[in-house]
Amino acid sequence: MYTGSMTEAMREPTYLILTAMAAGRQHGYGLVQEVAELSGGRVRLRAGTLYGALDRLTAEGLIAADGEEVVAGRFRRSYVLSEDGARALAVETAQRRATAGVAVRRLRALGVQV
Amino acid sequence: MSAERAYRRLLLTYPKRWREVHGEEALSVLMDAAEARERHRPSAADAADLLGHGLLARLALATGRLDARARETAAVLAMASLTALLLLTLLMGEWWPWPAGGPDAPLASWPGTPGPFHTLGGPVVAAAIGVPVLVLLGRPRAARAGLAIVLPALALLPAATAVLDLRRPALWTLAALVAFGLLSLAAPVRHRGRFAGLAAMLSAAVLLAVWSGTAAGYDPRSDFYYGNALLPVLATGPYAVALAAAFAAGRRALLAPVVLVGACWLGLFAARAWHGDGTYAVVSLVGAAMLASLALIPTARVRFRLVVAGNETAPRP
Repeated sequence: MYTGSMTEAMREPTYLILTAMAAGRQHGYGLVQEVAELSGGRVRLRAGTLYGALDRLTAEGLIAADGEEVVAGRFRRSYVLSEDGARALAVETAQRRATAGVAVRRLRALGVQV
Repeated sequence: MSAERAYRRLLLTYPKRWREVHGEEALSVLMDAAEARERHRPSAADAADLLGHGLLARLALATGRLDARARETAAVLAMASLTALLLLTLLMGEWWPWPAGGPDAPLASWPGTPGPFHTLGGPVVAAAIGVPVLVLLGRPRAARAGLAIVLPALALLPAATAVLDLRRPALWTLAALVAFGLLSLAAPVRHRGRFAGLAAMLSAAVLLAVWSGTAAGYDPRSDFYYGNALLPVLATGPYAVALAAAFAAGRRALLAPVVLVGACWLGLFAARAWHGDGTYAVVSLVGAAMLASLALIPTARVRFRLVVAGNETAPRP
């Protein structure tokens, strides 16, 4: 069950991982590439950080392992977004959108175009 | 050494159980990323990332065997103990801000030591007090980040002082500080109200002790490092207060935390007993007896309830 938004904001890498998985099942290196692309190269996940996040998200029930395969001699395990994960992503996205909306309005009031 | 072998070696920092589940897939990610960046060996950032997360995974596995409430209580007790020992070390050992009233002048700073401190431990300990302050301000994540900086600094003090030819606090003080810091990482300290009460009591007890020392015209700094049973006595007092308060709040889940945190204090006392005279052995025995008695309270309470209710299936404490 997702309780993160009740206590603290979702961290950027977590948000990007869930967003990457919203496109469908992904394996570890696929997530690294997708997150780099989504963030415009700002966030480059390292393996320790990636598997720390995958362990935590799996324990929270937001994602689940979904199949294993060996490609070119390398073992890959894929992960998918769960229903709770999709809900958590929706909640976080709504919060971020609301905050961004306020920021845009205030910047326009200052004469800054966004 | 091939990149694969180097990565496999770095993955050894993770517990075996974790490697059995994730080892091969993590290795695939590392090799894919290395090939994409045309690297033939792990970068320093990759190594630090794996070492850090591997150690965290080991800590999570170790603490995962204790139930969540016990971990939280251990963290609160350890943080309270850390606060007490930091304050004692700073005020009694490193920086004595009041003029000594007795015949002995306060100890001077060791030549080359920064600030008004007796040894190089002073600035580190002073900075470390920021950690309990962050907890009191309701910033557990920042406090954990602070611990991640302070604990290696404390652990590296013996090596740093050896290289710089400066003095450091006693090894048993540093060991106890690091042990309390690691234990306080066992769980996030989120209930700041509960912790605030403990920390306030500890601070009051320590400051009262310092004030008593001043009033008696006694300079305890030399005793802190070389002398009698002052530290164990002062340290036991606040710990007993913290323990009593935590019992009131936590009750049955306290056995494991009491053993864990108590072992750190007793280790500290035992080190003094070995290094000093028989006074410490007596204080250690008294401390052990006190902790054992307190640890038995929840057990006794549950047994009493079992006898009264005749319920043999009630959960064990």
